[in-house]
Amino acid sequence: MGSIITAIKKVRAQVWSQGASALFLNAYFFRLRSICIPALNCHSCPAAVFACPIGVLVNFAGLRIFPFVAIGILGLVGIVAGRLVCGWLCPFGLLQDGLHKIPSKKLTPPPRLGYVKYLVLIALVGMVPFFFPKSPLTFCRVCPAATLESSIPWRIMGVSSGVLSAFVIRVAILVGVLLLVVAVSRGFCRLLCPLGAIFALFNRVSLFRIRLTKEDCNDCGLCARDCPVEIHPVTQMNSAECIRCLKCTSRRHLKLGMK
Amino acid sequence: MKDKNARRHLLIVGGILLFCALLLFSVLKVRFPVAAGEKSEFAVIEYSLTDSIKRGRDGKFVVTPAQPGDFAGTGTTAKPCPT
Repeated sequence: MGSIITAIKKVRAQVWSQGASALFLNAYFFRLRSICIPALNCHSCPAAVFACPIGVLVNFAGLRIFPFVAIGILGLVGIVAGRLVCGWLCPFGLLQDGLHKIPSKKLTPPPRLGYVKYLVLIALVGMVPFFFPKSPLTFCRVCPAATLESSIPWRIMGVSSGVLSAFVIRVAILVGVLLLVVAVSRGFCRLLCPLGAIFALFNRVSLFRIRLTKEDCNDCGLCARDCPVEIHPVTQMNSAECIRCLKCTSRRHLKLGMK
Repeated sequence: MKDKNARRHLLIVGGILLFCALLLFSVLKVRFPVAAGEKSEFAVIEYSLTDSIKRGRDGKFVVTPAQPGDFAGTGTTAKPCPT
């Protein structure tokens, strides 16, 4: 009973944290767009405060400049916390968690598909903008978060420079991703998110990570049932797929720590 | 096991130093020559968000004035999506 209450408290804390982050990142009344914040939040959103790190990487690849600031911020956050940002701060993660609660058939993607996000990172964030800066295939132009937070609001406000067909394609991609996350828990984070791919590289070594107390584990598998990305927190502890939502730490054998 | 953790800690310290150094280097040293003078990386980030900075034919940076598509004069403080 105690562990269930702890789990509920943790889920609430996570939702509050994600909600507060979504509001703060889109506070509208002030602008700090020369700084990128380590979360997938489109800087073209009418209310956005900070720059999106992926947007900055795409733009800098197009300009052929090394992005010292973006790499510095992402690297620092990654080496300290790994994918904690995915679990606790990303507004698009909050949306995915909400949508996945819609009753429907739930699917488990094969683990190999997790590598697609690295391809997205290399191709759509790195190579395409570097070699073809004007290509409609750079990540920002297909990013579902950008469509939701920027393209649609601006289109509704009647202020948009984009071509209608491009807008329709963006919306179709967004709808596809939303359908995916209804069926697959955190589907975008697991399969497609380039920011998740960057933080995933740090998950195994980051300062804060999940720790196991072997004596307290009786192999019941309950912690695996809690996991939104369907990994086994004991056997795949600190795997690149772990989004550090900390739901598994409501079981007493797993804790977040620095050791 | 202890040895592995020591290596990990070394990696963390090295990583933190490296990424802090990148940020510091950007703040103190990185400047981009554009027509309006030298600009910091932070300024270039802000320009790039609205596609207001481009590379000219000679490879130098050119800050372009706001185009109709950049929504100049829409009376909003927000800068819309250039796409």
